[in-house]
This record gives sequence, structure tokens and C-alpha cells, in this order.
Amino acid sequence: MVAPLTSFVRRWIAETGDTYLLGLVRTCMGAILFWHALGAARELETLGYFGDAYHLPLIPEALVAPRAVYTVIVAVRLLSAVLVTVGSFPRAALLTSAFLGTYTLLCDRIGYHHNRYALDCYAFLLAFAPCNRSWILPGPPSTAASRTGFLWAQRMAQLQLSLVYLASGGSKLFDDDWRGGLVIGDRFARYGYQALERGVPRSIVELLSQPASTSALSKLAIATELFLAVALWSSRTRVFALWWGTWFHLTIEITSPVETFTWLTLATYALFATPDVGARKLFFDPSRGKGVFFAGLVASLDWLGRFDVRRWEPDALKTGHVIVIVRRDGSRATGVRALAMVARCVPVLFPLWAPLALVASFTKGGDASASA
Amino acid sequence: MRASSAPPARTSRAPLVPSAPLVVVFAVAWFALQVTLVLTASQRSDAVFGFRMFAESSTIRAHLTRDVEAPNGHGTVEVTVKDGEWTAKDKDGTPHLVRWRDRVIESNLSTFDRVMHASYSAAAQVERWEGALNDVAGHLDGDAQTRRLHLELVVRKNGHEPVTYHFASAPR
Repeated sequence: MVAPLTSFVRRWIAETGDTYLLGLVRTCMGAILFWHALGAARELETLGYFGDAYHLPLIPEALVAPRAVYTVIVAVRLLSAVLVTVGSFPRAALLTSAFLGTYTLLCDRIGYHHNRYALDCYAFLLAFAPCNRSWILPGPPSTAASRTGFLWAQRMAQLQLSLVYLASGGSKLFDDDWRGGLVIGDRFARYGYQALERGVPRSIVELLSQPASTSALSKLAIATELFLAVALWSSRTRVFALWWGTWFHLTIEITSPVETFTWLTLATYALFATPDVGARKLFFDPSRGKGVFFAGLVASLDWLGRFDVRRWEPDALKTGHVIVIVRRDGSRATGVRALAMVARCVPVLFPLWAPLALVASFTKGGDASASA
Repeated sequence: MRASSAPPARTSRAPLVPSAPLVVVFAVAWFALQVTLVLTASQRSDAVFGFRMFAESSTIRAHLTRDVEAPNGHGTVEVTVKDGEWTAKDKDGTPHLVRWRDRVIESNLSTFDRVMHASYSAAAQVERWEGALNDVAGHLDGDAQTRRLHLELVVRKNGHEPVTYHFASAPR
């Protein structure tokens, strides 16, 4: 029992890899940190210093930042968020952001939100990861060699996400009202009119408001959170888990005000993606408008750096194909299969991946062998 | 391009080998803290640090009244407060507009006579409203007339039957 554990710990600490995605996640976190710091600055300007009004500190009142100190804290949070985003001293800035963000929550629990605390946790853990080797604005482009670093802190950030899902799903599972559908049912009863106003057919709203439906939806939500806590870690279930989780969070984003929780979680999902910069090739036909447009679209949205976008290389496939994808294993895809491949790799198109992959699985001519 | 005898520019940073015991201690301490916070979240009314997303779908409605001296000089009468604002005289007889919102910024804790979503659980909102009541009552410097504030909270947890809470500030 001890030996396998020791071996696991050794492998976890010694694991190295490409940190390209860490840089991307850091940049996203910087933007989210800035959004929150800007909100704090606006509140300070419009509502005044929270300590002058009713507040509920989690720490002794004597340790609550006075007005002048709090003003400096907000300014430092803004500056740190900018540094995190552009990649200038990003790890120190992440650590600073995490400490000041958590301290702010401790000064007044009325301003506490789970998503803000989750952000501080991720920022803290990322500060220990080599997230300063890619997505750096002031500096030369990174290379595969320069990006290699230890991944133990990244794994901790990933585990933190699983913990969030486990805590959220687990608390719902042990709550009779949640498990039985009362919580979702009551939400439908109170906010169903908003769905009607947005054009959702009355029959659908009424169907979803039925006790049987709300009970089923509750169980689905609980199962989803518990599933995501585990399935993100398995290479066999990861892509589906990421896709399902993306839609889960997008649905929450549409239906509930959750500040930046959706974007924070989706950014953290990138930590689960395989870092393989330029491992796939996208060849496009430069003589056709569609090819140029599609290549430009992929190049601009390929934030995970998955594709090496190139003009057509003369071969037997050039006739009739706007784009051809060369996968990691060297096999080629065209048509719907190529689209499914692009959707799988490009974050903003990822919600379309599963339906496209399903359609692609019924096609015969979508794959083109290397010898074709 | 010109050949150079200068040493090649550094293209990669040799990663520092982490100290295994330090990393293990750090990771164990971090997750022990997180798991403890998650497991003890139910002991905190608002479950802070517990990641209990959408824990409830509860509502709350607050109604504020204040005790003032009865016109006949015997005892007090209870007066309804509208929108958390009232006019009261100070010790010198000068009237002042007193606003609940001057002390309570959070809109969820300063909206009266309207059903609102009880963020972070009904219990959390009841606790916070009670705290707000005592805070406001403790800062009525320009109000020499109000003897006591009363707060009535009607709470409906997850669509269950409503429960009414009554709170009164310390007499002044």
C-alpha cells in the first residue's frame, strides 16, 4: 500500500510537460480577476467604503482594512490582475491577487460568493505552476523547450475543480429538497415567466415545471456534478465530460446570475486538455474563399494552439476539398469529420462537437487515408 | 544572417527540481483545509467556503416597524416604516430623514415589503437581517424619537410553508 502511494507521489511531483495551456488559463484568470477588482473599485466609488456601513467580518474587526488601506488593496488588485493577464511577473501577481481577494472576503462575508472564493483558490494554486512561459505579452514567443515545466501545481488546480463539483453535487445529494426536485421546482414556479418572456413555448415550461420533471432534472444536475468530478480525469471520458460540462455551465449562465463562475470553470477546463501545440495540421485551399475564411477562423480561435494552419500542399487530395485536417496520428479528415475535428479542438466551437461527431460517424467519405 | 561566436540565446529554462517533502506537505495542508471547510460548511449559515452552489430556492420578505412614544404620553405605539425611511426629530427637535440604506448597502438587506430570493440560504438571510437591524438601531444618532425597531421576516424555504420571524432591537 505504501509503495504504490510513494511511487504515485514521486510521479506526480516529477511530472513535466508543455505549459502552453497554463499560460492560456492564467490569461483568462487575469481577465476575470480584473473584472472582479473593477467591480470592487466601482462599489468603492459609488457605494463607499464597506466598513462605514453594516458589514459582517469573518476576522476580528480590528483586522478589517480601514478605508485608506482598502483603497490601496483595490488598486493593487487591479494592477495585479493586469500583470497576470499580460504575463508580467504573473506568478507573484497571482499570489497577490489570491491573498487580497481572500482577505477581502474575510473582511465582509456579505460580499462573499462561491465563484469569487473559487477564483482565489485557482489563482493561488496557479501561482505555484509555471504559468509564466507562454501567453506572455512582453517577450519573445515561447518554444516547446522553453515551455516545459513541472505540472504538480496544475494537477492541484484540476483537483480543486473536482473538489468544487464534489462539494456542490454532494451537498445536493444529501439534501431531501434538492434530491426530490423541490428546489428546482420552486425556481421554475418563480422564474418560469422569464423563460416565457424569452420565447420558450408555454408547453415546454409547463412540462418542465411538473414535479416529475423537476425531480428528474434535479437528479440529472446532481449526477452531472458528481460525474464531472471524476470523469474529467479519465482519458476515455474526458472529452465527453468537457462537452457535457460546457453545456451544463452554459445552461446555468443563461438561466441564473452567477457572476463569472461559468467562464472561470470553462477556463479551468483547459487544464484538462492535452497540451499538444501544433500537433494537428489544417491545410486549406488558398484559391477558394471558403478555404481562406475557414483557415482564418480556425487560426484566430485556436486558443489551445492545436492546429498548424497551412496553405495547401500539392497532393492527390487537392481536388474538391476546401480544408483537410491531418490528425495527431497522421490520418486525414475532410468534410463533416474535419468540422467535427475543428469543433473538438477550438474552444468556442466545442459545444458543437458532439452533434457534429455524431453526424460524422454516419459518413463514409469523411475520412481520407494518407494514400488517397 | 551573420554567424556569431557568442553563446546561443537561452531558449529554455531548466526547471527547478521541487522539494518533494515540501510539495507533499503543501498539497496535504491545502486539501485538508479545503475538505475541512467543505465538510463544516453546514455549521455556517451561509456555508461560506463550502461551494454549495444553488443550495436553496428560498424567499424572504421583510417588514420594518418602530416604537415611538404614544401621543398621550403613556407607553409606545408601533409605527410602520415605508421603504426603510422615516423622519424623526433629534434631541433639539430638529427633524431628520433617517434611511436604513445609509447603514445597509446590500440591496438584499435593505428592500422592504417585497418578496426576494434569499441568497445563500434562508438561514443566512435571517441571520444577516437580524444583524442589520441591530446595526441600524445602534446608529440612530439623529433620531431621539424611536424607542425600538421591529423586524418581521416571512421566510419560505424551498417552497415549503412560510415561517415568520420577529426581531426587536434593544430598547433605546
